Amino acid sequence: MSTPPTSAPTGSAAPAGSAGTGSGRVSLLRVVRSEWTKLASLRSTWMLLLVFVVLGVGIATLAGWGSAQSIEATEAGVPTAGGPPGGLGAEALAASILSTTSLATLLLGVLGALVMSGEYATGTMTATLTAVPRRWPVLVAKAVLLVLVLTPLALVVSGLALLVGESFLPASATLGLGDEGVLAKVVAYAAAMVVTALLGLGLAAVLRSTAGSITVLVVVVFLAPGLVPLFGVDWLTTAAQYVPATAAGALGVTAGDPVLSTPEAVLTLVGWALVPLVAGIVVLQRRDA
Amino acid sequence: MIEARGLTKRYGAKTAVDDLSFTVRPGSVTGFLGPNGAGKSTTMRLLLGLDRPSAGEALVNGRRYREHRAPLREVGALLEARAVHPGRSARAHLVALARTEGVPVRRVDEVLDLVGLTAVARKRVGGFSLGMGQRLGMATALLGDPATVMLDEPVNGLDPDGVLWIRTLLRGLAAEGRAVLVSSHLMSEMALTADHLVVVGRGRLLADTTVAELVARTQNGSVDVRSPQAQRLAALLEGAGAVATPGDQPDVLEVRGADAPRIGELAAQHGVVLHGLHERQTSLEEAYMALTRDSREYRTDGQGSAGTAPAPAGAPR
Repeated sequence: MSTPPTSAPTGSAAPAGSAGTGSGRVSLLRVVRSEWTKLASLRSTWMLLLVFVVLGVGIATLAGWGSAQSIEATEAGVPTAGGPPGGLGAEALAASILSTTSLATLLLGVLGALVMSGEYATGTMTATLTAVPRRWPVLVAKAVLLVLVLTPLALVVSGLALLVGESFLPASATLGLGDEGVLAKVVAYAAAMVVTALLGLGLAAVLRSTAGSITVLVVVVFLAPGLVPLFGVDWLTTAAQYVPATAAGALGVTAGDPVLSTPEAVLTLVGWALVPLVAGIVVLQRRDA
Repeated sequence: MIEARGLTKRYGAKTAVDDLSFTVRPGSVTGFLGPNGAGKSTTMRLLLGLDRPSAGEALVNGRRYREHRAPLREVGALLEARAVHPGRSARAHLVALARTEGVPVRRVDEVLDLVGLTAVARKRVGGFSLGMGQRLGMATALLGDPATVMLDEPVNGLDPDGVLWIRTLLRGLAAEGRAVLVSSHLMSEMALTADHLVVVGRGRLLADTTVAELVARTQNGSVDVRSPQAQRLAALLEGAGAVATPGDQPDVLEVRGADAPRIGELAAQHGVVLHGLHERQTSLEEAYMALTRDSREYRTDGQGSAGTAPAPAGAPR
């Protein structure tokens, strides 16, 4: 249908002096720009990202400093039975420092969930889907945007976590970014961060609830890697190896044999990012908004 | 232009919208009336493709809403006024929507100005009053300069100035040739705004009519007559083919089958003194109440039948 006449406004009621509304159509690129406006216009986004950086680098700093203390104690002649962390090699130290970024990683998952569940909670989804009635571009655009915004940030946090954490350690226990497998590990942890954000987004698209999504995130990101193996149930322990944190831990330089092979680890990361997202798209297309 | 054809929406055993068909034409304001829970909001969600109909279809400007590739320019909708993230500014909310189909940002400032929110455009929506929220909702609806406008209860929470503003705005939009669908549970408000009425109750179409027709349809056409010679007048009226029943006072008659001029002339011919002659007008509000009496979901009046008693505070026409 053609646009209605915009002239002859009656009184103050009509959209007087219309500047025109152009003639564009909805495109994925436009929806990405729209989602950027939404993301950037919320104070909570910036708060979460700030806390992400501070926690990610901060906890790694503490871990590095703690390890340095243990090493000093060991060298001062306190006998050690090879117990951690004083007796750990450089590879194990690097891995342990990077693994402390999991709390920060969880925050990205929360951000990913909020990007979707926040729209349901506030009713903004009605306006969003009225503007993009085909629906799927909304979720795809949110995912694209999260990847674009978070990838550089995650790389910086992961790299800084390692470098700052190691700065307390003696040179003999330190690996540089140039050493074999180190950069790969930094990238792997950054990837796990972005994957977790996408996981949060996908979960929220399926569950439509902030609380529900965060609960699942905490289980997958936080509890599964550390807690589940303690149950001593074989299949649960095996399952717990296929979480993003373990996958990241298996990539790049490792102290011993990695739990997962490189293809397994990469597939695990990709799976956690994509499977919930695809499920989210199916739910978004089918269910009433 | 909005066309609903056999639109039906069931939620489990409950049917929210039941085989609803109606058309909203360009150049007029169509009032969408019904008691709370009549299915008005659900119908609007079906029209916008937010909910999927169980049966039937809804066409907006000739297509299903989902098929439009620049939907904001086709249809502007205000569903829930406060459905905006409280942490976002009014302007950011509108800019985000505008970007989805390349509506220029200056149009955002234009609609903000139009609804009078320029001063608070960069304030967070969380601090808005209900009325400001409604104005932001109007700005959202008008953002794409759409040919069809759909508003769910736009006057809720507005002060008298705001109500008048909405009324003028809606009339203006229709005068520009747009199709305007506006829902309300207040007949008095629709009487002042709408040309056409679609009345629903319990999801069903009760009337698809004009304001004048609706009143005529439910007009009971009785006349209250007050006369010290009521009994004599009653006999004369009976003789003239009308029905006169005694009112609640001895000098009052309720007359059907003869209009006020006829009764007056008859009385004058026979020298009967009249103290009062009052044609009982059914107000639009009463007409609406009579129409929806059986389909109101929550009632407090406890009246089973229609009766003829006028509502005590019927809105004057």
